[in-house]
Amino acid sequence: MMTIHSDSTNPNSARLELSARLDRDCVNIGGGSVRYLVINAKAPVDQAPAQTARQPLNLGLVIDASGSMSGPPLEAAKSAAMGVIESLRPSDHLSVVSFGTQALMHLDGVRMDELGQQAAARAIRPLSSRDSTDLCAGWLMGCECVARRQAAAQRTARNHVILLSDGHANQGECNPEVLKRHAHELRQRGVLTSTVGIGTGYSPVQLQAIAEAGGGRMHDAERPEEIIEIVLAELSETLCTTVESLELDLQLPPGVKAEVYGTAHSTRSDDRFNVLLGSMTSGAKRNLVIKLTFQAGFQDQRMPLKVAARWRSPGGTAVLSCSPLDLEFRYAPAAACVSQSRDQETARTVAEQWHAHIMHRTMTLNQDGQFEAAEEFAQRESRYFEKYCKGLPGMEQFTRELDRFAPSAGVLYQVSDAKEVLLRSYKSSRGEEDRRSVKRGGYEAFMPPQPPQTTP
Amino acid sequence: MAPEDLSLQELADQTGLEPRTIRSYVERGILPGPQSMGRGARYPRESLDRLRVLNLIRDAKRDVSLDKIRLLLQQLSPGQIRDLAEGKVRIGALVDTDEPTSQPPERSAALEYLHRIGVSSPARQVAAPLFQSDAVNSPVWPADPGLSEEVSRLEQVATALAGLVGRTSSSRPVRGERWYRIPLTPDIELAVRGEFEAEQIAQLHRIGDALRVLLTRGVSK
Repeated sequence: MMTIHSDSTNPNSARLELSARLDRDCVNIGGGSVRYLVINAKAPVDQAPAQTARQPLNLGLVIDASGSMSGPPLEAAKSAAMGVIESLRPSDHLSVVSFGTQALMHLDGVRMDELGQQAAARAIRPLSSRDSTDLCAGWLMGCECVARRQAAAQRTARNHVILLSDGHANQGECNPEVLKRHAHELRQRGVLTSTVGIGTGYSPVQLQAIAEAGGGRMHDAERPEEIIEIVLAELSETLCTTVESLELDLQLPPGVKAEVYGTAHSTRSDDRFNVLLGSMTSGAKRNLVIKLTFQAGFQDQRMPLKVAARWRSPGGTAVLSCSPLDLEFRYAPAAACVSQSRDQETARTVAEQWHAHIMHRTMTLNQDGQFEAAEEFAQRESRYFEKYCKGLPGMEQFTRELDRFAPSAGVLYQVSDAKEVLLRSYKSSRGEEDRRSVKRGGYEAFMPPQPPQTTP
Repeated sequence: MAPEDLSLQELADQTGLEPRTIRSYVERGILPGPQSMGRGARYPRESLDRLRVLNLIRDAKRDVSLDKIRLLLQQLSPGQIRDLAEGKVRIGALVDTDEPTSQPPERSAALEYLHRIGVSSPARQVAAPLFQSDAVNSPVWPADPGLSEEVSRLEQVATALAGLVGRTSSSRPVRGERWYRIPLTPDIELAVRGEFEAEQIAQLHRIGDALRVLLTRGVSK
């Protein structure tokens, strides 16, 4: 086992604490060893008292006003927008866009002084629902408002878009990969996006793609009354974010395969492996588990691994980094590998992330209509998972859930149940809290009923 | 003219950069200017080395600002730049610096990206309620108890604007003089001619905000 810590050393920068652990550091000379790297990041705590002047916020609120939002959901979204207006300060700017078939701009970077707040309230009040859903057009128009204000601003500000939608995008650009690319490019340019999914019957694929690559967060607000609390919670999280666009760079030993457990976006180029973790709020912790698969090697051969992190402070002026962490694997005969003990805490973190990974990946395949692949993946991973958890206390619920989940993975899940499984596993893999005040049951509450047991 | 001098197009072909991008690098002091002007302008060989190094830096580390690259290049001799360009020296040594590692992207970069992918808000996309709400048959500037207050505020804005502009420039347009533009709504902008200090620009923005509120108020009632 090996644990390495690092933190940013520049006194002028926010201190991000980074540590990395291996569940085991011996790998089999015969090849095929799987080892887990657990990276933990802890965001710096915002020391400023709540009442002191904070960084200005340049906020874009994008509201789905399509036909499916008519009635209580849209009224709740408008109430949430009113709540946002009341929460903003005179140094903040607000843009409001709604979208149906067409995107409409209601407010373009208006300063939230008294007059501005009045103007914003007047702009939001008459908002009404209309026809189909061009989510992409609405979102990008909201980004444009924020970017325009960003370009004109004399002071640095947090530039953030909150997109509220029931997720039934059926017009314009709907491809999650394209939305992801736009979100990524805009994040790189300082405009971040968080998303709030509304209602029961939506697929979070598009909203997750935008939030994940956009460096923000994804929330769910199933009931109209939850929309207000979720939007205000997101606003609060945006304001207490201390790390933006956190990326981890791994320099891997040659021939080692890497796979992220969870939903974090990753890319590989030669021996470099990059993972985007996005934003973190003050003092938040995040675990990332990376599965590493090794080729054969020579006894006592050393395999170095380097982990580095870079990020920005919100609206900050520089890309920050901390001292890279150095870890090492060592090749040994199979017997030595088998007898090697593993760190229980690390193994537990691996199990938690792995469980969320299986649930999320399986449900994504299920909702994509790839039933055979979903079932095969769930069955195979569940077997490995159970084997890994042997001797690890407190894992019974995870294994029970997977035992029940895997056989049902080949049958199409209802959208509302699938959404809960996807959202729960997404939040779990990111260590984020479910902000909904009405708590839902465990995973099993969203699985099909078990067939009655037959006695032989 | 040295035999190894290159045209703008040759530089573009050999570096994969757009000619206009290369021109912007000249303007920003990253590259020396051409040896001669006009269509046959030739650039010194050092320009090619500098562009190659710039590409290598950007490949090695995203988000390194042009200002940072310019500073890095200023600290190197032509020989060192050539060694880097030809891979004799590893580029990582240049960019593996402690934090802060780079400057943030240009502030308008997000807007440029959105315009590049075709996002631009023409007037027709502005919210219908602003133009067609229940005031569709009413005068644009509705009479209500708050009107006198807003007219008074508009007068204050106009006075502030006149004061600001009066302090900064002559009334006659001068060729090449700068216009400062602040979008108010997608189809209305405030354009002011002159050179402004940061404080004056901030004041212009406050005026723009007030005008925007007045405009929004006027048409949304």
